[in-house]
Amino acid sequence: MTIELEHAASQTPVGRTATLVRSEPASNDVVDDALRRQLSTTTAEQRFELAGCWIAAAALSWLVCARLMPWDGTVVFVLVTFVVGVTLIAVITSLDAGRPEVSDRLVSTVVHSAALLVGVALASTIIFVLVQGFGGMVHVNTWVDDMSGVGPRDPLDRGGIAHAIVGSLIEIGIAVAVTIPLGIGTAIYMTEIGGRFATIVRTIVEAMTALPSIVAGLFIYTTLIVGLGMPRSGLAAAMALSVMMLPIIARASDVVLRVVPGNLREASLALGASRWRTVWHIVLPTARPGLATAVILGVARGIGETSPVLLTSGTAAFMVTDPTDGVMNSLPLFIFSTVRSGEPLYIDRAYAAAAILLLLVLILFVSARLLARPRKGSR
Amino acid sequence: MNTSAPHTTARTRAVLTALVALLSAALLVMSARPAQAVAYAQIEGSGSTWSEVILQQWISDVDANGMKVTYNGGGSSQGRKAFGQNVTDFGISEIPYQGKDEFGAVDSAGSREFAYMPIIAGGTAFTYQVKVGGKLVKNLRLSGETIAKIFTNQITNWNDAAITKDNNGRVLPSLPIVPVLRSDGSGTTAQFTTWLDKMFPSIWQPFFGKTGLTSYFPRKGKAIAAAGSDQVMNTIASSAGNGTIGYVEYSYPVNKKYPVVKVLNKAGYYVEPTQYNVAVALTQAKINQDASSPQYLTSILDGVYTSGDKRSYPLSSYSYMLLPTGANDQRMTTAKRQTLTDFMFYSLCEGQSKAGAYGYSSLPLNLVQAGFDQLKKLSSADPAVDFANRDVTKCNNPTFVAGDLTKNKLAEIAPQPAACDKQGAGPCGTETGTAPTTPKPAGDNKATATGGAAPVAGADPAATAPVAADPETGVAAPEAETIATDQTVTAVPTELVAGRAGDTKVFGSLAVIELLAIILAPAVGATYFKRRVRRKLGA
Amino acid sequence: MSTTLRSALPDAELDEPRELSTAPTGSDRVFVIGTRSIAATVLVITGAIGVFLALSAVPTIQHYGLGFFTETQWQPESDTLGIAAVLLGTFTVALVALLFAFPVALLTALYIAEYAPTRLRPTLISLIDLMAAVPSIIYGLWGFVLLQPHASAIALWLHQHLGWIPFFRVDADPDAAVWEQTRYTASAFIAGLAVAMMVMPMACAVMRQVFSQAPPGEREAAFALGATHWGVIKTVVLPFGKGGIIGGTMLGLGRALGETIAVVLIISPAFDLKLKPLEVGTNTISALIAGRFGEATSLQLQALLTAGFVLFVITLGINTLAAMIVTRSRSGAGAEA
Repeated sequence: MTIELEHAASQTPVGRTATLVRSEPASNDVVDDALRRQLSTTTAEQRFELAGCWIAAAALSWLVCARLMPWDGTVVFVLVTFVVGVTLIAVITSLDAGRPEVSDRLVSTVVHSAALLVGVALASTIIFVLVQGFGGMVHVNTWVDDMSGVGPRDPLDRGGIAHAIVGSLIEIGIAVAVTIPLGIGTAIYMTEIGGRFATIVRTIVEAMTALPSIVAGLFIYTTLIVGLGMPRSGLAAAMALSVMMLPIIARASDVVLRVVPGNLREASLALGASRWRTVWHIVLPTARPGLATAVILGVARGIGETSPVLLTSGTAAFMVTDPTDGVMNSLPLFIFSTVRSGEPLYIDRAYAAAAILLLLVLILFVSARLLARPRKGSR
Repeated sequence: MNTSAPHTTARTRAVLTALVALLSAALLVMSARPAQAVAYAQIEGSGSTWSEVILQQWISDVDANGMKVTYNGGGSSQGRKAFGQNVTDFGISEIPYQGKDEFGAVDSAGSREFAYMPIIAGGTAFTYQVKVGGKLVKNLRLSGETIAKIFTNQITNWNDAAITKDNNGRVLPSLPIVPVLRSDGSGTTAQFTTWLDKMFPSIWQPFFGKTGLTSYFPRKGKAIAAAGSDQVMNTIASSAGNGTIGYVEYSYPVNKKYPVVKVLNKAGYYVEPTQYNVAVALTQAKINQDASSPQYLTSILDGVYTSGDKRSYPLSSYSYMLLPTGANDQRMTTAKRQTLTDFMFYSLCEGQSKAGAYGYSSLPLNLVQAGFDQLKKLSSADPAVDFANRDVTKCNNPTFVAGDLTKNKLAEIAPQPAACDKQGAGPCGTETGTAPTTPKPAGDNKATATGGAAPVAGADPAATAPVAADPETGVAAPEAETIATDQTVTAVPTELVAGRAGDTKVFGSLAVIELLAIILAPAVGATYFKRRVRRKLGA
Repeated sequence: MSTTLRSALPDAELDEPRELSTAPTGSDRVFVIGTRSIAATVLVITGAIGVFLALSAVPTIQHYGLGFFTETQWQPESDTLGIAAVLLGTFTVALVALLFAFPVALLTALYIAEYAPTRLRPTLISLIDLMAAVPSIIYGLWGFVLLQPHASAIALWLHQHLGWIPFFRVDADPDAAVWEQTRYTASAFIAGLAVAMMVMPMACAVMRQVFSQAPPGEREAAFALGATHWGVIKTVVLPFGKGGIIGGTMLGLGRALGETIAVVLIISPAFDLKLKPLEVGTNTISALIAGRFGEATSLQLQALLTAGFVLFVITLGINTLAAMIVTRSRSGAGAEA
């Protein structure tokens, strides 16, 4: 079948000899449907086979679990469905395809199932926390009141977790105020100045990222609280958080700064700027999205860490805004102490706090992603 | 460098500033609190979970007066250590500092000056979860020896003969016993092991390997551990806790509405640790009256264990606060001492009236008076502390008998135990774990049916139920026991044979294989033959 | 007429090299000194922690001897302290976590890098990063409340069918008419599952990054030769990503070893030297520290710090090994965790 080259003829100006050249059809050509090449990877037949296999697997699995074997429970049902489904797909595919296609199909099925499993697990976690915490979150007093004077049997419209939210924010605020300058400064030293000392610093900092968070908390407890007699307070908790976050932020900033192209720096130096000006005006603005992401992810990690706070800050039921004034509370600690109490209403409050913590982390995460997007016009 | 950059960065900057402003405004709003009239400061304490329930209630009560107290229940050992290391302002412990023991471990307050002050009395209860026919058993009774054998892993099943004997012939189904212990250093464990050591040394000492008490119950065999009384209660009350038994203060099962074992006392009666029975028992406690001794006001409980009163509960004890009395105490300031004084004044005075309903027992007047004198040491250490107008005798304490410091009203009005609580009678069908606040007259027990699955409703005791045969095995069903009409009706549990599921599994698997073979055989066969043809053609 | 030789030109100076100094001056000097002092502060702080931890091992070993590493019980009262059982428990939990996290992470990374629709890819990558950012207490809650009943039923099934292998044994009767649920809960298995949820996104992110860097030329060549998608993965992507797979797994292992709060919420503490993750009762170093720090005398605090130091050294070793494997593999240094 030849393709009519009408457009070539119509474009030929008057007087010029038309030459018929075989060429590809233009995009505004009309091509027969039968000639269209199928670009999608699955045919209707394959989709039917897939659907049929899974439906059959589910039905067989119900038969096996509910009628033939003494197995009950959703987990067993899903497992048996999966095994039977995979067998069926393997057999059906092998009907008219060779071994490579069969193994390809099998691997594809397994990979998709694993991804689905992960999706289900993540969704179940988030939905579980949000649904359980919803009852507490709808009350305004949950956000603005604290738990002073509220007993375990008091209903959810009394008391709240404002003290935990404020405590978390204060502690992470202090930790960030300490870690950001130190971390980014160290990263600047390691990337811009370099040298033997910088290699030593880099090695030590990377080694300390392996420090478990509970050991950071124990370190602060032993040195500051027991050793120096500092009371258990928001300040001690902030110190424990900074000790934990400092190597992480230093290392993440180091990675981000190293990615800044060298030619930008060289161009700046060639134009006569000092190293200080290069860093301040060129390197840092270029790395700003990456640095912001690193900082925000470090903050998200710090807000959710319970172990350093567990050892260094107690659990107060009332609002404390002075970080040096004794025991404070924070969201993860509040969740930890109330969920183990066994009182159903306390557990509801724990879930509300968990939901709020999750939302906080989600907001931080989304803002990190938005900040990390390349700006319009930049490379 | 980028000309389009400024307005995006300006926008983000504006958004960020707005966010920060909003956040600080929120912080200010949330932290706005009215100014205090009296100078109070936040005080921090830690220690026992035994008395934590009532202590948290007192903390909640005084909050309205501006006193901010934090309490962290980490176990008595942790309370004593933290107090000694100047990490907390006060500590709560059931047992005093043990000093230096023969293993070289040092349990002392170091250089910190302190005094013991009793805050509340109560009983260490044994709570359990035993389900018969899906229903919780609520009226179990055990003798001390049986309890000792259970926790030393000598009795391992609920259908043991000793348990049946204690329950006057009532057999429980075959269910493995899982003792739940404390994993942290616990004053409750110390009280329990002191009682075991004094009353059943031949059972306890071989198990422990040494003599004496311990704050860390040795975990052996099937026993499981949990950290803190609240976790012990949660473990026992959880859906996976069938067959567990543990030791916690009475307030925990009262709170959770869970049953409590009635323990046999010396007079031959099985009793619960209600506020009355505890008060009766503690009249036999020997309090150290030597005001110059560091152990002043601590108690020796040997007389309590062997008290011959029909109502007394053997495992009754006190809980103590460690008061920092030093004038140069590292942590205490005037405001803190004032807070502690007023907090404890409330607890020793008004707070005692709540004890009974919560599952504790109020302190008798002589101990309250002595406790006050200890509290006075805070104001003698720091003259700026206001200690005026605190009269003990005007307190609303249920143990007070007007005019007589030595008498304990609770102990006097305590009701006698019911006849069915006597050894050899009963068991009573009443619920346990209810913390009565009024002394019910004895004999007022409603006989309620427990363990309801048995098909022996109020039938004529003379008539015998028709003998039914088990359809599968043809064995006659055991006859249900009929007991006298004023007693409770209990079911006789039948045992299921273990391993019968194996039969169904074999046939089930065969059926499954057959089913799959039927479905897959055509496809597999077709594939095989196609391949054979293809190979032949290809060859 | 005379000619003057060049060499005899007057005023010819000898050629002297110019003074070249790279030492910073002015604001640069301030900048260098400033950042150097910041780096030195950070070095001192982080180094001090490491040194402090190492130093706390000295009095511990002096007092308890090398029996500290072989003693299983942790009895502060009788001064018998040892981390043998706790170390084994840490490894058991980490092993269970890896057993579940590794295949799932590998398959998910393959899905995102190879099978997912291109439009969805950035969303999925963000979802995995979000999963890594979720606080560990939330996973602990999920494991403690939601997962525990199902996981103990799975443990029962495993015991019933695979109980002849010592690893799957539990000290209960698997065929009892009413199963002893107490013996299957609060075990290393359930804690390991909760930890797996935390380890999986970390490993998956590293693996995905490595898989997406597989050389497109080789992939297309494999496709051109008629390989199926799985064939391409098997021959090009997986061998290329081997370093990333191992590195990501080891990073996850490092995280699994140090996880505290999920473990504390779930397990029932027991100091037994056993490799039976399905059975109730276990303990890890981090759970030990979290549970016992309050009631520790100063010597016992040193012992806890020594245990923490041991954990730190193990995690450090694994992280270093992972970094070496990742950077030496073909995937190169681009795959930063």
